[in-house]
Amino acid sequence: MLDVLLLSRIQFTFTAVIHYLFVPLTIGLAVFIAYMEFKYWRTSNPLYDKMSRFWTKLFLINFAIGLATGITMEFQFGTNWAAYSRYVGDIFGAPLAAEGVFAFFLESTFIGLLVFGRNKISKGMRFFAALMIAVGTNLSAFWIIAANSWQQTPAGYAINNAMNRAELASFREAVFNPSTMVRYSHVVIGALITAAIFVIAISAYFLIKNKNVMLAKKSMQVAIVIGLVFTVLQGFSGHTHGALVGETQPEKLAAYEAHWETQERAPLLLFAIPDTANETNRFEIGIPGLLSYLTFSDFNASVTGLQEFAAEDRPPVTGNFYAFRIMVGLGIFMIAWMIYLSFQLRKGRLWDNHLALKVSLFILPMPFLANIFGWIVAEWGRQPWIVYGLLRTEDAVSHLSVAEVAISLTLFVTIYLFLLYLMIYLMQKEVRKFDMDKDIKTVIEDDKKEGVLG
Amino acid sequence: MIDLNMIWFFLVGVLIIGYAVLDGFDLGIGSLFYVLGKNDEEKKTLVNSIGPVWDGNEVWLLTGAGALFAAFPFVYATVFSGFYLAMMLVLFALIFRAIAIEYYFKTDDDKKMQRLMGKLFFIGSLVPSLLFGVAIGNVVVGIELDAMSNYVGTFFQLLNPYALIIGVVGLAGFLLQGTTYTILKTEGALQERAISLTTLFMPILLITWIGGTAATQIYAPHMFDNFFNNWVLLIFPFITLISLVTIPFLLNRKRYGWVFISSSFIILTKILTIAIGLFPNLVIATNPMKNLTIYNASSTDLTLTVMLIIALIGMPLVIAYTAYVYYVFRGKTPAEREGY
Repeated sequence: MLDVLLLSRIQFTFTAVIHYLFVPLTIGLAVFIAYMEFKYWRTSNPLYDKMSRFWTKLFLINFAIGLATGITMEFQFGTNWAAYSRYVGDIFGAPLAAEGVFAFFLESTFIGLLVFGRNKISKGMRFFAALMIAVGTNLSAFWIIAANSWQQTPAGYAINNAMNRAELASFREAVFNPSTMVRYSHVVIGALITAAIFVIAISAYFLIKNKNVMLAKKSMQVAIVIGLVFTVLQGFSGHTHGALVGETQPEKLAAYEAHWETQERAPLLLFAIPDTANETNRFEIGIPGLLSYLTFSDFNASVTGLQEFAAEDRPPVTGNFYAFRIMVGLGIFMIAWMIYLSFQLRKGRLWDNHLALKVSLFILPMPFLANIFGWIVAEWGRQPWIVYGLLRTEDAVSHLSVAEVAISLTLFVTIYLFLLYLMIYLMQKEVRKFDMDKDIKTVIEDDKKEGVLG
Repeated sequence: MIDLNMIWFFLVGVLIIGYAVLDGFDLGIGSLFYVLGKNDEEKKTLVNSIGPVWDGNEVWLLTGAGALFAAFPFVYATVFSGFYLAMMLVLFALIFRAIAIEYYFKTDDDKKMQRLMGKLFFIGSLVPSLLFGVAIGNVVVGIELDAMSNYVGTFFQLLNPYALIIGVVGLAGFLLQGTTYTILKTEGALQERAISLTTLFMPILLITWIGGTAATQIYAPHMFDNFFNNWVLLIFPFITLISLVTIPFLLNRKRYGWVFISSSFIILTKILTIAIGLFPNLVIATNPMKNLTIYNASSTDLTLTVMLIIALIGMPLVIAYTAYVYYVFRGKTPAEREGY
């Protein structure tokens, strides 16, 4: 039956998933653009100017929807999760407000300056504006991850039973709770990988079409270096994160791994068909001891199984198990592909390797999917809790009617699909029509202007 | 004695005022998109005039909502869930507006799509301009809350006569803010049109403001208590009135910067007047025992202190670089977007 709780959960999941298609690219691409502006400022090489202008065009198309869908997220805590907002407001609200004060103002104000004011300000100021956008987007991610991490591993609070809420005891402990930094780095690295693969894919398209070749080659070189470094780093980050989850949210890890019985030398399952009713797996292939080793750096360590937890406290297993494997599988493929591209680049064979270029374009959805599946396991794996161990999701929902949420959900789906269509339409139009030589005129005008100003 | 709760009442007010003054002209221009802009070039100029700054302006709302959540979580929860469908309408409008402004120039080679962006800009501006006032009207006049502070009325009860009147007062203020900003940023026929619209809106705003005050006397007389206890506070509605009547004189003398400042002062003092009337309440309930106040709806002193430190560090920086960006974009707006 569709009730307010289920509809609100579907709505939050849907709006968050769509929002998060845009966020990582914003965070990662902002860093790329800041790098290009830095190079242009230091070298005055017009190629960097063109690169920055081109990637900023795509950045903006992406940013607009990230911004528009982001307002939804902030409103939804109050609209659909009022009981949650009352319970955690004393702790959760501050990071959101800090995000506004320290991050949103920064990114939005300097985006206006960089995009509209490019010809009114100096190269150094352009770099500064691009840097502030990158700092703003990354700070924004920090505050949101701090708030979300508090839901995963609450710390620095005390429960006030009379008020029925969690109250702040230490801001530092709440913000830097046990999972904040591990999860923040996982998210930012994911964002940089997303941007790298995005830049590689679009550049590959230009190279296949033999257009904007200089710009595409230079962009791709930068992106492959960043992509290689951060996909490999993400392997370590993911491992650290997994081990932390095993320590702080053992039933979540057990759900990821469909690990029912507590056992020593726990195997890492490569594939299985979880059977929740019988609390077992119907079929499994695993590597003995590897889960124990990955979680506790010891092949013989005992890993807690789902059976240790009451059935009503367990996260859904099947969905988490598969979603987790999709995320990890995509991650491993991306590491391998970046290593391959780096070798091709080093040997000077990449530009003529059309198959590699085509595959690079084709895998564009992969980092986006990996990000989404990452969030799905993070949030779904925490169920049935909205704040781990403190507040259940079913107790967090607003006092609303089914009709109200059904109306809003229908409108969200309609409007967001329109936004997606619009975004893809504009992106591909911008990429198809782009001709870097048309930009030369602007560059010369810029130089003249700077000459006049001295 | 001034305590943290009062300080946060004031600071949330500052954020709301900052939003209403700054995004007010964006909303006004959008609501008057077809009245002000008669051809392609004028429409582009209008979008361009707010292009570099509208996004930063909207952040005042996002930060205001965040601050409300952090400082007065019970108000945030009650209002956002209670006004559910109205909030969704505002949300969808803001989404449309964001997309429309950002994509207006991106769709320049596809006129059909650009016209759609124009429509979204108009609707996305008009709906919030009206609903912000409606929301305030309801909070002021009193809404029906249950024991858990959940709103128990319906969406259509929110569209009561008093709330609609306050909605119109709000809308009139935003329209004036839009025309006075347009006067500053444009030239020629567009500027002329903005001047005549300003002349038209001035008396309309005056009438709606007086009407709103009279309606408050009828529907929400409690809003006058604080003023009767402290006559000095009447200075704020008085400033609204003065600012209103100076506008025609300033227009005549072509002091367009001052016209915009007068219009901004109208918005500022209108909100201050409501804030003073409400204090120390934040949401009035039909049963006064259930009013949400700055004390029973607030976060702990520790959270309010931490937030105050965040605000004291962050806001001066925000104001400094926002001022810098406005300085860079001073003067008249061209129709074509530079560099893009």
